[in-house]
Amino acid sequence: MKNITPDNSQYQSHKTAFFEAVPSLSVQDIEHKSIRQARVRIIMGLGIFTLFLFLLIVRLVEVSVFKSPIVFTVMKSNQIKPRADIEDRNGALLATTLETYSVFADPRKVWDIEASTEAIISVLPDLDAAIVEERLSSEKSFVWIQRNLTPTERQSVFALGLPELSFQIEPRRIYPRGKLAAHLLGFTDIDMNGVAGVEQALDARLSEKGAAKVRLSIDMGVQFSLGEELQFGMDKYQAKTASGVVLNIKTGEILAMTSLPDFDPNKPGTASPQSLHNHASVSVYELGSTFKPITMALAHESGVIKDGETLPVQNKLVIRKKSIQDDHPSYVPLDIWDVLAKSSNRGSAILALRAGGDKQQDLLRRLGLFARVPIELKESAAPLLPREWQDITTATVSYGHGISVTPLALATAIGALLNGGIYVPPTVLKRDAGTGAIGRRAVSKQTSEFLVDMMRYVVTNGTGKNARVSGYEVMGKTGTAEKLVDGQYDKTRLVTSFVAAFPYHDPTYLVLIVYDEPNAADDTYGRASAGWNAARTAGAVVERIAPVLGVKRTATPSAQKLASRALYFTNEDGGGQ
Amino acid sequence: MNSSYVSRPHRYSSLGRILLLLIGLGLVSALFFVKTRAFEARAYVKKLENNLVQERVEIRMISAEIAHLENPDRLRRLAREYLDLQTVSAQQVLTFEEAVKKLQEHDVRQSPKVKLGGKR
Repeated sequence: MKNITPDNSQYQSHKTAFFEAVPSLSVQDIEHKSIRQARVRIIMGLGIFTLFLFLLIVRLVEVSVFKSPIVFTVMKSNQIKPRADIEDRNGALLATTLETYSVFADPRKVWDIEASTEAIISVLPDLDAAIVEERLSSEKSFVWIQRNLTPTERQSVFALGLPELSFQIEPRRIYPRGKLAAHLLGFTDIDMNGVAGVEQALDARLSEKGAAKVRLSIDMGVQFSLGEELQFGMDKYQAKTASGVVLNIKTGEILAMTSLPDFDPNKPGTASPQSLHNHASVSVYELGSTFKPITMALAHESGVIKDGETLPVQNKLVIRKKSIQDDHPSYVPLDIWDVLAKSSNRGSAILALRAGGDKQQDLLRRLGLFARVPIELKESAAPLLPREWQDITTATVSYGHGISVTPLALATAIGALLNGGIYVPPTVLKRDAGTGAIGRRAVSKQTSEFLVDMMRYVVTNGTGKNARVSGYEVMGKTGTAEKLVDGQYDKTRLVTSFVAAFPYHDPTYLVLIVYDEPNAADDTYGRASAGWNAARTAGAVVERIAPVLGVKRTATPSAQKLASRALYFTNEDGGGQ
Repeated sequence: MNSSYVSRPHRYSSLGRILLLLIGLGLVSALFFVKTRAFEARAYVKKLENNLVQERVEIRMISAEIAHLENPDRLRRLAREYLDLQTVSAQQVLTFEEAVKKLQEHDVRQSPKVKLGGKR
């Protein structure tokens, strides 16, 4: 504080006048009071300013240093359980996951239960009014009304404007191709867990976060053709069920697999239990004479028949008091070619008995017929095998009785006989071109070539003529088996099958058709055997899928691989027709 | 003079503290600014991610629609209904040799003197 120096005369005179007028105050008191007041005000101002500044700094430090990161709102889409798409071998979409709206209600907010129920039913007529009313009367705060609405349904519910209704986004598995490959694809439950088919088999892989699309081995075009022809045949022959498989016998890839009746995987809940059954890989049948190529391979491998030798199939054959019968009895001995072409049970039994039960079992084992098919699908049934393997078993198994296998198992086994002798495990997944050799040797290459010629002969000269397709050189074998009912074979209830392969000059594709209990049609002359139904369907399938698969028609018949057998072949469908 | 000399370090100390305070405030402000920008950037990234997810959902929806529209069963029905098309048969697929043969037959019918592949 500065002292006021009394060196100014004017100041001194004012000071004297002032103190004379106010004698009770002194100069120092007045000065101190003003100064004190000013000081207090300044201190208070500074204090308030400092306090604000301090608070500001504290807040600034808190915000910039200690504050936790902002929690951003995450879209519902990010929270939805992921599931990879499924495509066919060419990238056509077969299954995908879409977001759908599910509507739920808070019953506590319901003003008029009856009116709300009526309004909901008016836009969702599939719902049961009683159930909706019961749910709206509940004491709970959350009840589902309907899950996975379509966009139209969602808009209709939204337009009702009921305050008790709210929506929740949920994923839904969609199969845009409908029934196409339904059994192979399978389906998921409402919580997106795979419960059948590929959806179940590859559940972990599909539901992995960031999982890549799964590309199946099937070809949508081939699958559609097989399904359509099989449906046509099933309707025409009034069969109980039908199943079919198209297999690439070199790579083991399943190009198509159909089982009828089928279902829409978008609505699995509405399907009957019978239609959910994949007959191609789960049902086991005694497939009859389609087993005979295996017996022919056994005979060739075992060397139990000489070139040109004939078998006495015209004679009765009785084993353990059981007489072996032929559907197409021959009155003359047949060579091995005609045993297969005319589907002689006696001829097959003779050949199998010559080779012996042990060798037969060994071959069946090598062809994978003693175990379930090693495929990704859970739906793969084990075969039904004879309890004891006696000579009668050897005889009956030689023509496909006494042993029950799935159509897929037989297709794989026959494929091994025609592809050069390699048993290739089938797969529902696309195999890359660079994949190395897969499988194991089941029969010799020579035996395989022999079987190719023999099965071609069946179509040109034998029971498989109805499977002929101009220019595609189909090979094949029919199979008509009576069903075992109450321990007896029923002649009126048949399982018919036809296994076809093409093209003859380079066997690559195999088609297997199976009908369960087919009937005669108008153009089958009262017959319901495989040559009249399954063979026709197989031929129709080959005709449709061969161009799709890029198989070229041949204008001239392929040169016969074995000149000695050339005389057996007729050129009725050998191309050039 | 003595008193002035002694009080100088005190004045420098106060100035230093104020300077430090200002530097501290500056750093905190800078941190706050950077953090705010980082939050904004993160929010923007999140928004983009959400947009991406939304676009993917849209793509999935459109793919499913396309797949539904391309369903072979539907195409067959439409082809038969509006175009009167039938399933292709093996007879409609020709090999090169067959095509040449048919052309020759056609040419013979049109002009018996002209032979395909020969001198004209």
